[in-house]
Amino acid sequence: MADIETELRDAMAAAVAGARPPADVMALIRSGHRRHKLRAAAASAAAVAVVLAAAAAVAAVRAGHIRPAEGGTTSAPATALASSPPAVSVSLSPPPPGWVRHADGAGDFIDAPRGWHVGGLPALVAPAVRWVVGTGPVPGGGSCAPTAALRKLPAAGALFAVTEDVSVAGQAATDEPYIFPPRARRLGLGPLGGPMECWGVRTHLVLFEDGGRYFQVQTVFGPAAPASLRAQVKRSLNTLRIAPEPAREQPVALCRAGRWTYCPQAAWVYHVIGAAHVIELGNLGTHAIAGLAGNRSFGLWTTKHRAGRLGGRCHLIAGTMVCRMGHRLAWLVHGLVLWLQPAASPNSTPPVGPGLPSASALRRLVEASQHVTFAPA
Amino acid sequence: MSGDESDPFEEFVRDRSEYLFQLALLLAGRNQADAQDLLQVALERAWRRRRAIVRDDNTEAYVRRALVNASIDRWRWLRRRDERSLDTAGPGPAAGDPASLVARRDELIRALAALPPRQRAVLVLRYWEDRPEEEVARVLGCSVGTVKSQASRGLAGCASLAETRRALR
Repeated sequence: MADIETELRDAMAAAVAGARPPADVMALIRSGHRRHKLRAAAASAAAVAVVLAAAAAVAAVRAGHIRPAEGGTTSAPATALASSPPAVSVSLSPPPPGWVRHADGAGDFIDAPRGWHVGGLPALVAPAVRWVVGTGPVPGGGSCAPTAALRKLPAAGALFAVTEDVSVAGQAATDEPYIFPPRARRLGLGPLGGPMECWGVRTHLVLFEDGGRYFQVQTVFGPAAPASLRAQVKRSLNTLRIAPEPAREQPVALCRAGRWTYCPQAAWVYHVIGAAHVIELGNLGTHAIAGLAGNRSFGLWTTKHRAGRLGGRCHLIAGTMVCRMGHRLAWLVHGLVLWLQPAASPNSTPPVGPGLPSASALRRLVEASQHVTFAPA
Repeated sequence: MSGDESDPFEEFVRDRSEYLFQLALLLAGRNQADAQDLLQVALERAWRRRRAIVRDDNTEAYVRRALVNASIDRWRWLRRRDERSLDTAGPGPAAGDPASLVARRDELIRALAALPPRQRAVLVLRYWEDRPEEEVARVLGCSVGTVKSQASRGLAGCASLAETRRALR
């Protein structure tokens, strides 16, 4: 046994010799913590909004002002489950006369009219703000939005920021890749909504995936901005050229490598959560998505359905057999097994506890899983 | 928390992150991505409690325990989903490779990665960190007897798995 001890000791020492952690571990910790807090704050705000909206709707129905809608609405964004559009081609030719190209040296660039300003990146590491473009001055400053530039926004001006959803390790984010639809042939400004997290004002918002990377663009116009400026902003936006991630970093490869949150099944679970009006708390590593109903947090994930029935004690809920195995629930839907298990979400504010959802929330999840189609890519 | 240079927790991270990453790497079966996740999870947990653990001067012990717990939790997720990391499931050294020291070490590390996480943690803490059995028991929250039996089974498992792999080549 002594030989194997020595051998193992040497093997372990050799296996990790020279291995180094990511460059700035403190930045990882801080931004990971910040993301948790932001997400939790957003979840809390969403919960309050849902409650207020429900209360307002009930009050309106009682007052006879509106009829109840036939179906529920969902805030789930468009996803990559939709059929992919043709690849977007961005001209690599020089910018048009009177325009200036702003390149980042890593293969990404954007063109903007001469006289517009580019720069002033906020401090946030992840997600990372890649470009801040404004018709007026774009001073630096702001923790997670270009707030200094926003303060200088001229009444007739515009300001937009291109943000990439990256993990703190600098790779594509492990969460929610599928909520970013493929980049459209022509990027628009997206709907006006908010006030937006970090920005504190209403902005246009568009999400897209390009080259295996995930972006959001937020745009603000001054109150006296002419209509022609919108067209110019869109034109500038459509010059955005994104250097693709290496193929091995792209979702399909990562899904094959066992990173479930990159798989179409994860996208489907995000949809189910949205359709069930359950709050999505991000993910639990790369293996499950965290949901919140009431003050109970839980993880959801799928596996392939192999032959046979699920074990455990089963009950019919909304026409589906939901089986309990220990502290876990599972049901068959669309050829998948959807699993649900209590899971802690230690960073949520206010605090939540791991637990199975209430009967009504579970019913909503079961129904949503039946109604949301799973379409593997 | 400010980015103050004298922050003791930041100093700890600066000084010890490389070592802790290597520990995470062994606990994660040599999977770099998982090791990064483990390290980040453990350090985030410690960071949230930094005032208490720095005051008690037990930062490293706390992070070590968080790393071990996180690696066991992660394995539970994977086992439920019948998954294996491709990093550890790949083929071993090429058949033409002589039974060199490097190949033998590689087999052992692959065998280590295939052990249940608690056994793996015992072996890593006992033989890579050279910690006495009593201390390993404290980190894992179990008895010294359990550490001894887990270490014995782990070593036997490693030897047997490594031999099996070699025989299959």
